Amino acid sequence: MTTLALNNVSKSYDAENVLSDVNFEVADGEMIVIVGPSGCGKSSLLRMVAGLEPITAGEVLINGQVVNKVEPKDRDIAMVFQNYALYPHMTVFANMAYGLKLRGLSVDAIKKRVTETALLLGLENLLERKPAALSGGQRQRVAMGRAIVRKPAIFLFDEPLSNLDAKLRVRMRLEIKALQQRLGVTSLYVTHDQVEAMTLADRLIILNDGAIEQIDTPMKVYQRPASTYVAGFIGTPPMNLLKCRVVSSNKNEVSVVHHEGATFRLPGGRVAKASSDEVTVGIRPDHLVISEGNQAKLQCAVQAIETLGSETLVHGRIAETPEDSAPFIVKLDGNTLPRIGEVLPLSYEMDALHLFDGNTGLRLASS
Amino acid sequence: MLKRVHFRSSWLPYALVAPQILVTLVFFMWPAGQSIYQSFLIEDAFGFSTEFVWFENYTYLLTDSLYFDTVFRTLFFSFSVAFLSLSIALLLAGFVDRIIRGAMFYRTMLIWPYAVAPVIAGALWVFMFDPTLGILTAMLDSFGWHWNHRLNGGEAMALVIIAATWKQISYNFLFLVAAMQAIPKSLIEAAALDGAGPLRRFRTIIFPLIMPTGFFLLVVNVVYAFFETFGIIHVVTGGGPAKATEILVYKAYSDGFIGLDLGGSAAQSTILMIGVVLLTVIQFRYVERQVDYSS
Amino acid sequence: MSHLIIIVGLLVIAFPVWITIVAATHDSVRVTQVPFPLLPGDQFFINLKAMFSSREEAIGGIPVGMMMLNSLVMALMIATGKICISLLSAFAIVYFKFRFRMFFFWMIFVTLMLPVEVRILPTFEVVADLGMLNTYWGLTIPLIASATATFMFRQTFLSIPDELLEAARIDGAGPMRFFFDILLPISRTSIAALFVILFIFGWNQYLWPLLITTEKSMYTIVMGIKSLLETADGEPAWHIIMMTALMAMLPPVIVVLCMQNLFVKGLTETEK
Repeated sequence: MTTLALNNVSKSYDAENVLSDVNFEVADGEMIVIVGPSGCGKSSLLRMVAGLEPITAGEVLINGQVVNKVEPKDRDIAMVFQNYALYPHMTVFANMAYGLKLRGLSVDAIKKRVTETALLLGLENLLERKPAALSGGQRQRVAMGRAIVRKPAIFLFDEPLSNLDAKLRVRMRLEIKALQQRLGVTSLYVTHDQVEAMTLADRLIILNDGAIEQIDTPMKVYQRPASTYVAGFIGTPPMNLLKCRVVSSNKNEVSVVHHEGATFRLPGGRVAKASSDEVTVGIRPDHLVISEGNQAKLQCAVQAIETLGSETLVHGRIAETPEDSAPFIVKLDGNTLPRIGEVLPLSYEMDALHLFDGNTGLRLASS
Repeated sequence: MLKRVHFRSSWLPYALVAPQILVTLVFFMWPAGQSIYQSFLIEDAFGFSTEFVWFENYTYLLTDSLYFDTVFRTLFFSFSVAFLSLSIALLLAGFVDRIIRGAMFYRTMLIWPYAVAPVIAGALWVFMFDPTLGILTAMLDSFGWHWNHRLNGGEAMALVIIAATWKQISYNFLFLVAAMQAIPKSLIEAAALDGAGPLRRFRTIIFPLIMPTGFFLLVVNVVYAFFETFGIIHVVTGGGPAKATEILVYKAYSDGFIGLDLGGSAAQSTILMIGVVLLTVIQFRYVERQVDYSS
Repeated sequence: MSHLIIIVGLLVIAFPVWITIVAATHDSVRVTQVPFPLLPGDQFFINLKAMFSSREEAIGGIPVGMMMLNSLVMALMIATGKICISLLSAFAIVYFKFRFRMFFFWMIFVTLMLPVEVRILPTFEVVADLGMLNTYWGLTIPLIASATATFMFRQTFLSIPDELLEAARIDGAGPMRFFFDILLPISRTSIAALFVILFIFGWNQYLWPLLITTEKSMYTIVMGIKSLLETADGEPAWHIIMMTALMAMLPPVIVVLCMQNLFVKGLTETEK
């Protein structure tokens, strides 16, 4: 049983605030992925959990014990680094054995543990090699092996896949997921790649500028993004976000908000919660369809097309808006190929519309 | 400058730097301080009394035309050595850079003189120029030139310059070849396509691009000629004849150890120290600028 | 054409050494005859034997074997000493955050500006006061502080990714364990390269041993040359002197030739 909790954790370098007031808990065996752009503080967060960086304020608890002052080696954690950090002068075997040796395990026990782990990861034929003689994927596996072999209570992953090529990344992603589920080790995983985050996480933490924007399961994050930031960050292509002005608002009726060239009708209860008449309406490119007849709710002027085979991405803007207005993306099935300059009539379900406060960027929920 | 993560230990880092700092304090800082202190003293020849005289040693030196002769002699010597060894090294490096086969072999054959001690280098040359049986003296003799560096100051200077230059060529060669090989081949090829011949390519492409290394080497060579050639002069001429090859370091040494003018020698050392500080600052300023270029 | 010019250059540069070899292989009579021979003679082993055995008349009473041993000890002690203390201080400066860190750094830097030649008298006095004249310690310790070696190791350490330290800490390594298990093995080529340079530096020391050693049993081979040249009675014994010179330059030259790549690496890296 291992749990990890962060209470009001903050971090600042000199006068600069990197993380402020971070709170979350990781349940036993759970995999939490922290995702955010570079510089959002996610790596610092991980390194504070590892004990590699001092905590400015707040507490980190492992199994209910405050570990702020505990040395990394005594925290019962293992970490996989972005550049793998394999000891270049040691063989694969020695790399995996080093931590065990320092913990005073007997030679036989070390050999048994390393061999087991090597088998688990398919490294059994590489044990005598040095890291320089391994491919990127193999190095990544050794780095995993070095973490697993210690049987730690918590795994920490610091962008472990970002140095691999795209194809290998997909494969290793699946392997990590399977391994983590099989071993059932509580894990914290940091990445900037939202696809990686979505596929690996039991729960996602979206970090922006040192603060948590949302903690939830990947599906919830996708379906109900807590803010415009999350809405724009999760999902490819990103959600269309349009700044709108409230035209009519009534709690009990359908309200109308207006964007240059387009009008959206939303449940009144949601619109009424806005702090002013500035709101942002979001709609995912996947939720737009070409409308038949004159049912169109929206017109999109096509400016560029990306044909991906299985789907077609249309880049344009809402018809009859100035050249420099917000870009608008529509995802159509692969057989539909509009022409550039054409105006597409589009429609959507009212449920597909996301509404955010124009000032705070926070989601305006219906209930 | 510093790692992102550090070890935490209250005493260990001090213990780690202690040996180096201790040696520095005892054998560098303290003697340097002593040297400066002593330069303000005058001691009589028997060491019975010392007198604090402020800058008298300095004013004496700086009004002494003999001292200035030494300064100019040192500059002449240093720049001659630097110029000659750089020119010869540049010539050799330029040709070695052009060839493909055997470059490694030539490098091997050209770098070993670096390992020869200055004194030994001096001994070799003094043997070849020995006035009675030296092989080169005999050759010069057949042209009617009666070489005798023990009597002729100019010839003595020439001899120490030759010996000091000989030893320094390898060092310069190594750095110049490295600098030339760091120039992208495509640049040379582009110039060749533009119609520039080998000599022109060297003058307009290679030479400007190795100028930074050349400047760095100039400073290093001057420092070398100032200080490390002590052994050569000591063994070849002993500063003579009639002080014709006495350079600053040699004068500070002989005034102190042989002339027993401790104050005067200390004042000379102090002035030399200021010189080294200046040269070091120039060198590091320059290295810094080089780093800026690359980024 | 290029080859021709380089070969001429090679020959000119090698000429003094060729003459040394020639002189070392003839007897005392032939060496002093004009014209000087241009080809080696057959006296090599006789001269070699004479050099190692003769005591009084020929070479000023200093056994060459002893001098070479002294040189070897001095060179090894200087090289090892410099490397050890520089490794430790570079480790402290790069991997620890402590008070006066920058102060120590600058203090080490200053040693660059104080070559033996400019602080010769007072340093001599310090060594004399410590009773280290005519000892190996006196020959070596005053020379082992090294800014260049410290800077080079600092550079090497800085180029090692931070994550290695972090991984080692998570694996449970303390500072000294990290130093011995990770840092030293990774830096071994730098250490070897520096060793080559410092061995040559140590072997070729002249002025310092000249001052510190007054007993002939402590003479080094490089300074021995000088006393050979100063033999009281008339003409120096050139064939023996040249043989000794050969012996004095052989070890460092062999080191350079055999470890050329390390030598070049060491030379270019210490100058950064």
